[in-house]
Amino acid sequence: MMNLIYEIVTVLLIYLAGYGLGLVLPLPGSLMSMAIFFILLLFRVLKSEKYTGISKVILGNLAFFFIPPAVKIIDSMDVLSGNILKLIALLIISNLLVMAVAGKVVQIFLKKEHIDD
Amino acid sequence: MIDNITASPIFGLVLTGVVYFLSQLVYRKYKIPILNPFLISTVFIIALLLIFDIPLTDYLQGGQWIIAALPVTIILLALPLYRQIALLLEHKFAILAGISAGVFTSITSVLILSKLFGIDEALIKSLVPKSITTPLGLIVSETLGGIASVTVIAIVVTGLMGVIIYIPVFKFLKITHPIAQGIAIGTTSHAIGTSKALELGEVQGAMSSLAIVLAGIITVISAPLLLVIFALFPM
Repeated sequence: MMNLIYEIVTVLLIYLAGYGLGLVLPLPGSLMSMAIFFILLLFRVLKSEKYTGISKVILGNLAFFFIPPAVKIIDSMDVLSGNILKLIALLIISNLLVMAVAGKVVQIFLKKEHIDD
Repeated sequence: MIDNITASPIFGLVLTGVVYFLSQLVYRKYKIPILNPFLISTVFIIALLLIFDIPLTDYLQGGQWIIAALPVTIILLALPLYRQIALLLEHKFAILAGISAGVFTSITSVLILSKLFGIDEALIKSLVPKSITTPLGLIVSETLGGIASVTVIAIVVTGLMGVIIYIPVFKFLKITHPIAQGIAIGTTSHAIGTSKALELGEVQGAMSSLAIVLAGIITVISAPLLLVIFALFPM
């Protein structure tokens, strides 16, 4: 129970700190919050092994949080109609390219590291 | 009477929770990618709202509460990043080069293909973050002036495609190194791909979850630059 409170309270405090920073800096508040959390974990101010309760449940069920934003598509049906096939073709081509480029670049760099060693 | 029930915030919350729970049961039973819990939940709720003529605003009374929790999910992404920091530092150049190249390819291919296919500007802006994790993708979509719901659906469809296309891509291009495979899957298809990468191996899974966070951050940081490009070259 104490651990659950630790998880919730620390994450909410970081949320508020990031939100505040986001108001003065040109980066989104939630990204600032993530950076703060990361730094606190790195310097062991917060212990990553404590975030295995509700944090794990949320990270394992991220999809749940995207259902309401997706249901809003009802309001944008007219923009999509007539574009569906084009969009699917675009996604297929683009995704093939991204996967090929990302994978190939990493592999080439890894081979170089290997030779340098 | 029914109207009163659907207008309560509890309605949207409970409906989303129950439908998501049931969709998880279905997915765990059959394990087919197309039965993705998010996808079937969304389709089911949309169908329900349309069939029973329930206004979207009613559903969003509760839905807003779930949307409000999205920033918290972003904060938690620091955990997988922290847990993979040793592997990242060991191969930092290869990993960062691959992810940056992937993000660049994703954004430029969306812009060029949209131009070729004659797709509306609002849709282009919604598609730019299609390869990154949803909470960060929503930030990019908002910054650019895209349509949030189109972004969410494009992200999930991309994730599902990634789970299918990695087999021919790896085979054809001989991408055999576990680190390269993990980074490729995570950079293309975020969390949905990562669940598949975990099945390929521990290194692939770890690299994929690292790529989700880094590709997301790089895309969010590039968004303001894209705004300038959109302003200079109207689509």
